[in-house]
Amino acid sequence: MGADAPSPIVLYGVHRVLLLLHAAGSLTLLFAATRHAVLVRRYLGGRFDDIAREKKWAKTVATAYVGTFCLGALLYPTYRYHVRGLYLDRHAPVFAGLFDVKESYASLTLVVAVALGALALTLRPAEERWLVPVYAAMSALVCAVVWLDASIGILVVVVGGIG
Amino acid sequence: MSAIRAAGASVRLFASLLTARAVFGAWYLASSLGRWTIPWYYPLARTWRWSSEPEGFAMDWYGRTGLALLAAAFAAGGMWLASGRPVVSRWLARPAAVLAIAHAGAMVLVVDYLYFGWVMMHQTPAPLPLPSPPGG
Repeated sequence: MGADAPSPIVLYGVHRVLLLLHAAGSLTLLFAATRHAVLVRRYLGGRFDDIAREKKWAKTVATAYVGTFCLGALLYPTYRYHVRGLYLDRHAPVFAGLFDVKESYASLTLVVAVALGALALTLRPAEERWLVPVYAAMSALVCAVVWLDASIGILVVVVGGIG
Repeated sequence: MSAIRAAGASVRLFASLLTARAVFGAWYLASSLGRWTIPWYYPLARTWRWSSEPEGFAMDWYGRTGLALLAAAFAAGGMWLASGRPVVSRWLARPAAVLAIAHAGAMVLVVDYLYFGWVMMHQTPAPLPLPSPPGG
């Protein structure tokens, strides 16, 4: 179905704008999650000299994750019908499966990403060192899932596109 | 004294969020394994319907995620309130308690990742009929 043809799918008319915003959110999230994971890793080595910056990035990760997640949710019907239903399931079903893995993992990690931002408000890593390994594991997990999801997203755009 | 209160708040929040994470994962998994009744979105009709199985082309992701988030929010709220009680608060003051909740949440998460990774990669493709061209 061409871009100018009428589509029964909600928000299909603005899907390119949404896709652009989703991509921008993803880039922000990739950078923030990587930066945060690196900063938290310093805590594991006993270095607590950059706590304010770490907390800033934790809040950025949480905000960018929720924003990108919501934009992805708005785009999902367009993908599900125009990309998966009409193309991927017919020509490249493996990529349809990969995209669903991405969606599930994004959902499953949402609470962890939000938790990073919330914990930035109260956690005092230098005083509560026994919490740091769990916090670092959460940060590493969010970073890994964000990279995985972005990679799958790029693969699906290359194979099936959404624009 | 204020330092002790702040540390308490941090541990309570940590425990609440870890509980939320575990409940989210457990709900997400159980609703799929048990084929629970959830709201399905029908993108072509732009309607919602509660059912355990879709009738035609429908999406379960919104309903499953939304309800899991709701369950997680209740769990977090419940843990936050419970952790204000002296008995629970004393229990949570032990690092082993919070670590136990973290391990439980991590276990659920690993099972979730494995299960959904497997299920999503082993779906039967169901291509939709191509729409007829305009004027055709």
